[in-house]
Parts: sequence; C-alpha cells; structure tokens
Amino acid sequence: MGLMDRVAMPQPVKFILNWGRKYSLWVMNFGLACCAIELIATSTSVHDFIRLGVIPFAHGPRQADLLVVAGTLTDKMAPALKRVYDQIPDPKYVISFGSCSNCGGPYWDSYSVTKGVDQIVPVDVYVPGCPPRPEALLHGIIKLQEKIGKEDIREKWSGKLTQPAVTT
Amino acid sequence: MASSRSPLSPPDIGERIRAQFGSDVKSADEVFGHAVAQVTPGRYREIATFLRDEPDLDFNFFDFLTAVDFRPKGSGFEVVTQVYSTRHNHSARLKVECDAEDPRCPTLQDVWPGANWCEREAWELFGIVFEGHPHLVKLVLPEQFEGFPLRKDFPLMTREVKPWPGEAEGVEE
Amino acid sequence: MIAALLAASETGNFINDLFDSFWLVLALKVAMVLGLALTAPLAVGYMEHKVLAHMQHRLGPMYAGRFHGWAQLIADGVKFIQKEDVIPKAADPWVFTLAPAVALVPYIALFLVIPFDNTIFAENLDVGIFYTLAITAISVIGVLMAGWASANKFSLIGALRAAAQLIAYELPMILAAVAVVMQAGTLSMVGITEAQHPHWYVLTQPVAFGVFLIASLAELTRPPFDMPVADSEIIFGAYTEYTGLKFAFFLLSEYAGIVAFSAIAAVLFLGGYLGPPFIGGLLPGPIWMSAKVGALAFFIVWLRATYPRLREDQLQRFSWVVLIPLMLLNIMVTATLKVLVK
Repeated sequence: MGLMDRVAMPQPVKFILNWGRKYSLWVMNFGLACCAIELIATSTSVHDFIRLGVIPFAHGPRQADLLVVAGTLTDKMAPALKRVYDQIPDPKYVISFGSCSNCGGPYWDSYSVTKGVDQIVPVDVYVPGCPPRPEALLHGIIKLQEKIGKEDIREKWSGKLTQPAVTT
Repeated sequence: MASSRSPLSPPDIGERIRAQFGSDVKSADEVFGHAVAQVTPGRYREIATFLRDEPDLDFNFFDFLTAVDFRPKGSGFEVVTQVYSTRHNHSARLKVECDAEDPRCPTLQDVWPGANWCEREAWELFGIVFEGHPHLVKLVLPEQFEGFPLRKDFPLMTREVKPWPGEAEGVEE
Repeated sequence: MIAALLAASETGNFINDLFDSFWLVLALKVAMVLGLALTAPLAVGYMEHKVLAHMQHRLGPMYAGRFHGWAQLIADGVKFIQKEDVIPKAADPWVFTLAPAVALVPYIALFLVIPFDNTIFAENLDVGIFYTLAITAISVIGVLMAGWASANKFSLIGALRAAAQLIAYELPMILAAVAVVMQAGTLSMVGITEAQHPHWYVLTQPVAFGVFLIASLAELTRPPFDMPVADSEIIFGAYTEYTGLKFAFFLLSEYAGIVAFSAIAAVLFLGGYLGPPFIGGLLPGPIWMSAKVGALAFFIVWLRATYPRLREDQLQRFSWVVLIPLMLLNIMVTATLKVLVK
C-alpha cells in the first residue's frame, strides 16, 4: 500500500487515517440465520447503526470494510464465507455476531456446524448472545471503533491475524 | 372451475384406502386430525398413485417426506410421507417400513415431483436407497462428508470429545 | 435586449475584470470549478444521509465530526484512500482504471458554464446548453467502460441496462431543453437566465420542467430509475468490481451529477440567479441560485425515500411511449405560440 505500510506515520496523520477508517465502516451483510434478523433490526429506525458511521448495506464485498457474520455457519457454507472475506479489500474487520458464529452456539454438537467462524476468518470483535440485542451490536461496533482508533496500520497490513477482543 | 370443497374426515380417508387395497394397509388411524396409514412396501407406489388420482381424495400437493431410525429399539427404518389436497383441504400420511441392514424404498418422485429432493435428503441423511430415483446425490451435506448423520449409530465427534453435560445429571443415553 | 445583455456578459466575467494575465485567470477559473464540483457533492451527500434518515424516522450519521456527523463524507473519503485497489485478473487494466475518470470528469466540466450571477461564471459559452447536454452524454461511456472492463457477466448486463436507460432518457431531456431554448431564443446559459426576467419558464412550460427532472433522474440512475445499480437487482451493476478510490469516484460522480442537473434545471426553468419578480433584488444572485439548486437536490433525495423502482421494461416504455411524444408535442405547441404571439 505504498508508503503507509513501510514508514511509521507521524501521530497526526495516523490519527486522521484511523479516524477515517473508524467512522466509515461499510458493512457487508453476512446474515445466515436468526441473528441476521437482529442485525437488520439494528440497521432500521429505532437502533440505527448508521449513526455510528456504519453504512448499511454495502452492495457487494468489494465495497465493504466490515463483515458481520450473524448466524450459524455450517460446514457447507464455510468456503463461501472464506471467499467473500477474501474479496473484501484491505483494511477489513470482522464482527462475529451471536453465539453460533462465536463458538457454534446451541448447535455445538451438531455434525454440520462449524464451531466458531474464527476457524475460517480472523475475528476482531465477538458479540455474545442468542440472539444478541441490537444494543449489544451497537456496543460491539463501538468497541471495534475504539480498537480501530488505537490501531497501527502497518501491523494490520503486515498480514498477521488480529487478536480477537472479547466484549464484556 | 374447481370442484366444491368436501374434506373427508380422517376415518373416511382410511376407509377409502382400505376398501381399495385391503390387507396391504396394515393400519389406518387418526393422529391429531390427520389420517395416517401404515402400508406395505409392495404396493406403496400404487397406493400413492391412487391417493393422487382418486377424485374424492385428490392429493395433489406433496408436503414432505422424511424417515425415522427405529433401531435398536424397533426394527429398521420407516419412511413417512405427508400429502395434502389443495382442493378438498384434507391431509394424509403414509408410513412404510424399511429393512434395518439394507434399507430400500420405492421412489415416489414420478408420482409427485416434489418428492425428488426430499428423497435425496432422506438418502444422504439416513442411507435409505430409493429405487428408481434418477439422481440420488448429496443435497444438503458438503461433498466430502462421510457417513449417514441422522442414523442412531452415527458417532458425533463433538460428543466424543466433550460428553454432553446432561449425562452428569443421570439422563439416559 | 437579449443581445445587449449578452454583449455585456461576454466580457463581464468578474474574474476577467480582476486580472489581466490569461494564465492567472485560467488558473483561478479551474480552481473555482474544481472547488465547487468537488465540495458541493459532499454537501449533497451529507444532506442525503440526513434527509433520508429523518424521513425514515431515524437520525443518520451523528458521530463523525462530533456535531451531527457533518464530517461523515470526509471520513468516507479518508477511508477510501486507504483501501486496497483490486483489479480483477481478467479485467482490462487501462479501461478499468480510466472508467471512473470518464464518468466523473464530464460532471466537473459541466460546472464551467453554470452562472451564479450575471457576472459570476467561469465561461459563458455561446452554445452553453448544447455543451452541457453533450458533455453529460459522455458519462454513459464511463458506465459502459466500467461494465465491459470488469470481466464479470453481471457487470456487463448492468452496464448495458444502464446504457440503454441513459440513451432512452437523453431524448426527453434534450427535447425539453429545446423547447426552452426556442422560447429564450439563445443557447447561452446566461442568456437563457436573463430571458426569464419577468416570468420564469416553469410558469410557461411546466410539463417540460417535470419531464426534464424525471429525465435527469434517469440519467443519474437515481431512484426510482436505479435498476441498473440496485443492490437487489444486480449487486452494483457496472461498478460491482470497483474498490477504494475508484469506487469513491463513481459515487462522487453520482452526487456531482445531482448538483449539476439541479443547476441546469434551475437555469432553464427556475430563472437561475434571478429572484422572484418583486423581491429579487433583496438577495444577491448566488444566494438565489444556491437555494434553487439545494431545493431541487432535496427533491431528488426525497424521491429516493419515497418511490419503489421501475423495472427495465417499464422504464423504457415510460420514456419512449410517454415522455418523448409529450415533449415533441410540447415543442410543437411552443413553436406555434412563439410564431403567433410574435
């Protein structure tokens, strides 16, 4: 990415770049099951995550920055998730929404469920719940914004998997 | 022009099928308002065609097809088919037994095309081979999946690794 | 009288009056046009967020920039600069990269001829409105380039639909403008504005005003004519494979188009920088012009919140079967009245 990932940026420039990424998260809707309903509810009038700069819903993975995996991920769907994640241009973030995508959830002992999307894609924020309230997603997005604000873009672009942050 | 709706009561449906097929109908009951008939596999397809074509029965809508694994308590598998008549607003359920070792069942997908996918799914989850089905390949499981997951003797890997917490409280099996 | 006014305004450009050096004047004009063309779309974009939000009983961006999210589009811009630039392997790299420029530059070049007062403009071309309509047709090529170079079947289908739609709606727009030009007697933008001195043309040609607005909505692929770029139809049509700054340019061209077409409609029908008949002198020209452009942009955003979209065939039918005959009729009536009243 040119100069940005080779040279340490001065603090004001880093602040501006992080600020831009923080307040302009275009979300790719990867709603798979019941948690998708809560995700969509968060995007509608009462809760409205567009207030935080999370613009719903990007037309396709190429125009998105944030992937919210909401719902049960089965083994058959896992390659599709990986492909969509790969199509999103860097820098990108993933929120795992709901217990099915965190760890397999109530279907942890099933023959066909992937126990946690972090086996497939690196996750930045986990939002627990079954399904989590829309306010929980807003809390998760704010935590993600705090994380982005402190981020060093070089570390992100170096290709290392990010360490997940658990919401309290 | 649709003919007038005249739903038959479940005992009447059972009577009609028994009248036509006699001893091939092992039992005909009413369960929660639906007519349920246990039939032999020999004339299964004829019974299904009769249900579809008989004007008073007129079961034109294929609801679902699924299977039950009764081993080791009972004997073998059982294929359950539910059909519905959109004109008369009555339902019927057919149950046919399959062998425990090599479960086979005649296909219904040429009587009702809606049975095609249901039979594929029952095949890949239970291992019941539907004779005469043109395209018995995996539908909902990933291609590399091995085994028939809904059989009672299928080992759940997760349960092997971490036993189900309910067992500690003395719940059987 | 028109000729006298025109003669005055040809040399009456205020920048020409300030400086003598050709190069300084040129630089200032370019700076003015670029500055307007690149900041007005941001304002319209922010207005769209907030207007849509309040119409849908919610709040819209609130945190970017602390005060009611005024910096939301600036944050979008800063983010798009940092995005990875993805070019599909099978894509034609030059055409793929140039398409956003071809889509955006015509709308920037359009700001050259828009007058904000009878001396505040960049250039007063004699063929002002003709230049305007011709330039907007070039952005069609940008869409086609984007769809073709993306190496994606659905992008190509989206691009062809968009091109068909844009061509279909060029005609009603041009015919509506032709009626105005006939009534004004001149092609120059300042001349058309001055000719509306006692009465704005929206009073004499309301049907043409309506059709011009509808046709410009379709030119911009804005709802209710956004079928080529709609999410649920075809991902994003011709622009599906675009990421980062190139994608931002396509969005910018959409908003720049809204501002540009609102400005043209204001000049053609709403009297441009002229105020209403008796109170016109109270406020300077640029205030009236900005107010009209803002009102029309608000109306365009309002339509997005309100109407479902037209299907491909309904769209084409509406243009060819309804709008074009209507506009031809309008031209005939205008011509007849012009000859009779003279």
